[in-house]
Amino acid sequence: MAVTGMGIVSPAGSNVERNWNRVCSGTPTAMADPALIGGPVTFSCRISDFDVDCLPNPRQTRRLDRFAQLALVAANDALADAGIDTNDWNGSRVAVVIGNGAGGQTSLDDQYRILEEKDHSHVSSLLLPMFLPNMVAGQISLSFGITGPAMIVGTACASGADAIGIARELLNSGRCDIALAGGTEVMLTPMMVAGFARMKVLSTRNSCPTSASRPFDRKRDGLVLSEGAGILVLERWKDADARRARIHGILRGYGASSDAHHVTTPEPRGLGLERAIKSALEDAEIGSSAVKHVNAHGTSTRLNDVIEAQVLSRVFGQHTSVTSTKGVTGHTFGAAGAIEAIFTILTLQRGLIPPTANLTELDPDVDLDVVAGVPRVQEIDTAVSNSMGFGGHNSALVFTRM
Amino acid sequence: MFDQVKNLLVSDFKVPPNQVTTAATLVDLELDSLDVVELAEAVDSKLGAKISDDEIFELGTVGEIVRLIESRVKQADD
Repeated sequence: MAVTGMGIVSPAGSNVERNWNRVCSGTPTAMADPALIGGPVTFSCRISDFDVDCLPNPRQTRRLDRFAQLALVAANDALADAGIDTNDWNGSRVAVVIGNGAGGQTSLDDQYRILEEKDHSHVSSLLLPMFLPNMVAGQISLSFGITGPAMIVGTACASGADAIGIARELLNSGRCDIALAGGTEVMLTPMMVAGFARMKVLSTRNSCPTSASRPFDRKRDGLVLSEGAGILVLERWKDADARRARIHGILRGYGASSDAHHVTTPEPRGLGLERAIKSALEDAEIGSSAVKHVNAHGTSTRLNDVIEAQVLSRVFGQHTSVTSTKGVTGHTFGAAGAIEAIFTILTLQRGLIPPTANLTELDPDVDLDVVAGVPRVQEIDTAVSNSMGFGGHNSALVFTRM
Repeated sequence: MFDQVKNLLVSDFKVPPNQVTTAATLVDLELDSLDVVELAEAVDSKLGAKISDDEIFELGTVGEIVRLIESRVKQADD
């Protein structure tokens, strides 16, 4: 399956190039967050330069929660990148599959406050259109005249990757000719941060946010919450080739599995993730020795990084370079799998591996070739992007270079 | 009051300013049922007049809506 368009909006930048430059620089985006003052964690990775006025229809924009606004901008960028004129396409042959965890949390929190402070008659009539997680798919379909299947996929932090995998299935089965697939998430509200903090998964380096997200580092103490959206345009290779589209990379395989172990804790041996990776490789008809790079889930939590590292050691060994771009972006939750899929494609396309930011001392339990410090120049033909989500969801995408 | 209602429609509902005339209807302004509920709430919280979305629906034009708001503000003052 050809990837012909890509769009990202994240704290690392408002478009794909800015994101790429930022992750390659290894400069973290975490900073003090005034909205979180008084809470247990007072920093985050937040998009500071997002301008809602860049959306073409301001009347529609006011009805969108931020999670849908970000996705709409990323989708618009991805379609432009793919060179597709949406005024001249058969929308019934286009699908939208978007990964998302929490829907319009910002709107939900705002309206709950109004309900508490005033009464039910002041609650917005737009609460449901803004909060419902599926509205991102609905609004994208509305914006671009897409009348094929439009849906969301919710597998927490694996949502973005699963959405891409499922979009590929829709294309493979002939149910659509073009798919807009990816993920989006905005859950940087005080209530959600409190919930994450109570689970003990957040870094508490309040005094030094820039050093907080440090995947695979011995001194990591948790993840840093972030927000963002990543959208890809997928087409069957022969269709993309027939219209002489620029093909960024090939989505070759997809695998998914569930741990059936614990609601939030990964299965200690990573057997679920291992199954997902092997399933993706089988789907791609590629042996593990051909994979020279992995963009890891690498959240910077103690549990995730060690378990994931053990799986990568077992499946790929030392011959595969590994990075986690979350050191720069923080954890964009439902968008992470899609944003990191794009970084994986760019790594293949440009022969450059972004470093794992803040990795200064590799955890002794991580027996991997983790790229740190500066970006590594390396020609790579095949790479894997991993995702794991609360609920025991695991997914892996296999990409190859054009 | 017309200017206040116009400002509200332009700033909160992103209606193009040149479309807001006393003769304009909700249909002309492309305001749907969700917008009208929001408009009633905004008129209450920002202009201090209690009118219901049903009342707005029953009125035909911006001019009529403005007159209703003026009468409610006057009632409140009395």
